[in-house]
Amino acid sequence: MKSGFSFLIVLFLITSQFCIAQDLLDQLREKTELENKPVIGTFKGTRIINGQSVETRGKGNLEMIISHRFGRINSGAYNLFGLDDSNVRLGLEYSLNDRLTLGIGRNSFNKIYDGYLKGKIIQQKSEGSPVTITWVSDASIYSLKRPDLEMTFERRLRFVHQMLIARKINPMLSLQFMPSYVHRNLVATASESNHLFALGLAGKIALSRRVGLTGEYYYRFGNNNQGYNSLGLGIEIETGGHVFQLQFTNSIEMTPSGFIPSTTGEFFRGDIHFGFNVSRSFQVRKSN
Amino acid sequence: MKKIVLVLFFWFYACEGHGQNIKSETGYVKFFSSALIEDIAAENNEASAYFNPETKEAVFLIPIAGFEFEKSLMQEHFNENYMESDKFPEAYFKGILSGFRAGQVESQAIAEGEMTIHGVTKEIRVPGKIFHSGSSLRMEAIFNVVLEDYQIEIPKLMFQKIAEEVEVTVKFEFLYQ
Repeated sequence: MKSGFSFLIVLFLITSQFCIAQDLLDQLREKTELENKPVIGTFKGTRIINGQSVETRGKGNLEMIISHRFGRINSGAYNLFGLDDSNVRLGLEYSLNDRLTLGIGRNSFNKIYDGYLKGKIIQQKSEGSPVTITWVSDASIYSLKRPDLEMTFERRLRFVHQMLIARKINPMLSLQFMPSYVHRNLVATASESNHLFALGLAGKIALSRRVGLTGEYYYRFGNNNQGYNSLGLGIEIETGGHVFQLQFTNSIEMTPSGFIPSTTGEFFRGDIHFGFNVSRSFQVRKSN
Repeated sequence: MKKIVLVLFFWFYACEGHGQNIKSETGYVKFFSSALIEDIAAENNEASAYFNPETKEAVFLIPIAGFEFEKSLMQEHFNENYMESDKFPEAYFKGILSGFRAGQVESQAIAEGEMTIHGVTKEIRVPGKIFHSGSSLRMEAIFNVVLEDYQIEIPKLMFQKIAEEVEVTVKFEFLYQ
């Protein structure tokens, strides 16, 4: 009985030691209260496929984005399934602060120059806003010479405004909605309107921490729309500083004033362009 | 029966704590790793700790999202890809600081106990120094953490080479109440 009792005391002493450490840790946790943190990494890149994602880079970040869209896959073996044709966009974007980014770019297709302002209005938080909302205003200049038409500067301008609403539902799945307004000063046919409203839908499924599948679709409202709605499917790989995005899309243009209203390929008939976006981040100013 | 009640009483008493815990709310943690292209460093001022000078027990708690980098994208990758801070929001140590002598201006101490990082717990032994001045205690230690020990993966497909071992510096100041 006596030895049993002392054994009990020893046991209690040991468990009480453990008890104290655990108790102290819990007390610290209560006081530290893991704060309301912003939800990061909704998308890996500032682009999803052709269009923008809600992501803005941190202050002082300069991002270089090189994008290619090859010719149509169904153009056959003679054109090496489209690889003989290549359209390039060279882009640079600079983050003035954690929420505001300015960007410029040049597209070889139609010789388009583009510029945009992108601002994060609301950030998704672990407790708080359920979504991230980012505004993008994009202006582009169509600089291709058209001997058949008198091209004034006004006629060359196109504008797009988009409200990007995204939610990282869980570490695996992110979804984004993109209500968009497109205004083109010059349209191809008289029946087309200069105004166009569209709703974009995009998503990312993470296959691992660094690889994900992406999809993007823009539905255009209205009856007299030419061509097809833009659709793209892709895979993205992030390697720390670089994001590689490989995609298949029926759009050849890489600015929203191009791919939203004037996508000419029919995806399900094989008018698909293989393409990629490669981005590289440089921190040119301190972020804090 | 009386004895059992007595033992239970002492046990609860022990659980209530030995009273004399001192707290540090301004813990500083830094890690540094030298890599081929660029060094990686981050600082955290959100760490906190409790220390009991009588029993020499200590717990240290470090919120992972509190690490600040010079490059914001690196900070995002640190949280998203390496530490998975949404799943494992904190790192902590609990154990004994043996070698501590109350009243001594400077004592060499060894922290022995369990360290948990990235959800993986390991027994560690870290030598450090404790400085005593007036109403405060200051603890400092520098030690290495091998990423593999805590199942922090370094991907093969990386352009920046990341060192497999990082140097961690900790400084905690405790005030006697």
